[in-house]
Amino acid sequence: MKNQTKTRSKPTKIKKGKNPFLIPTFRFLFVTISVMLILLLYVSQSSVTVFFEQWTSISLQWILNILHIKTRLTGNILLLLDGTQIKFQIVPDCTGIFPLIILISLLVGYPSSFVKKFYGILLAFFYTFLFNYLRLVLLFVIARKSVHWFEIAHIFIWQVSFVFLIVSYFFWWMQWKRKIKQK
Amino acid sequence: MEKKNKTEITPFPIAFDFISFFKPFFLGFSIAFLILLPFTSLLSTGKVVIIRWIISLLFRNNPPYIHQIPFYRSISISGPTFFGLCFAHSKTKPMSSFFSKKNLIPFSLAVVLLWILELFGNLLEIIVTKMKISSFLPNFTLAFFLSVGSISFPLLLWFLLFFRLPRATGT
Repeated sequence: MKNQTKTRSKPTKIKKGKNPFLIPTFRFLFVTISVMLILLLYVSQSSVTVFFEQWTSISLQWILNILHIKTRLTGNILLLLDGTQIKFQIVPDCTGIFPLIILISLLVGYPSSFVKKFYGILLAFFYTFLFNYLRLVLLFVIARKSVHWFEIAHIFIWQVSFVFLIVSYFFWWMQWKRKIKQK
Repeated sequence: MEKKNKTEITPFPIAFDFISFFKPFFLGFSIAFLILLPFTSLLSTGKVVIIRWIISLLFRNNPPYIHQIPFYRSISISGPTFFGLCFAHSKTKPMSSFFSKKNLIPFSLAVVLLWILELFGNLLEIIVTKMKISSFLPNFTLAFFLSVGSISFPLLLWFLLFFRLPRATGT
């Protein structure tokens, strides 16, 4: 903790009458929200939404087949063929695209060099999708055993885990960026 | 050289140590989440009452049907996220200076704002679905206010508050 206060950089002072866009925090917020809106406008188009849903459904069924979990795919609905035999509808929230959009927006908005942002986004892409597939596979494993535990895992654990995913990745990237700078 | 220094300026007056920041965040989030959990049902009922009232004003003749949300589906994660971030931030300085009277007002306002944004998202979702505009607008509204907003709004609001706090306390 002591080291942290020692390495603390001076807060940026705001002069009266200065253009708010020149204040780093406002610029960060403006860029982040703008990027987020642009990406969401693109992703919210039905053709893009359908593509992501289909892609997630097909790839998930492929992974489940490898793990010997039998399912039948109809459109974006996956039906468990054994255990509780429940149906899963893959919706945009299941595709992992929203955490990725948040991370891309934060990394683009945060003041840093293009290369660091590029590596950050590239790693975020793999990190988010890997995490999402792990989440989906585990949900299927739980759902095979119990619908009740599936509801708890789906709503409580995984919703919360996305918060930890984003916060942990973003702060890890900030630390990594600083370490690279110090080297 | 001057240009290089300019790009390296960080708006956040803290050198983040990932582990020492994430641990209190996790603790703060868990505390807030566990405190809110017993009140989730009450909060969702309150939210539905407000939404029904606004909807009845907007669609006097033919209001859409709104069902009561099961308690586990109405868990709000934006509040605990915001509290977790503020809690972790408070660990970087004496807690009393962070949660001082001056800072408690913007903190409380931010919590209320987060709740209003969530309510607004639910309301917009119902309106655009009722009006059957297209699939694009409900998709976008839902994604912005609920899916993305529930995580990004507290984070961005914390950044805004975080920046203001040193000024308020005179550091």
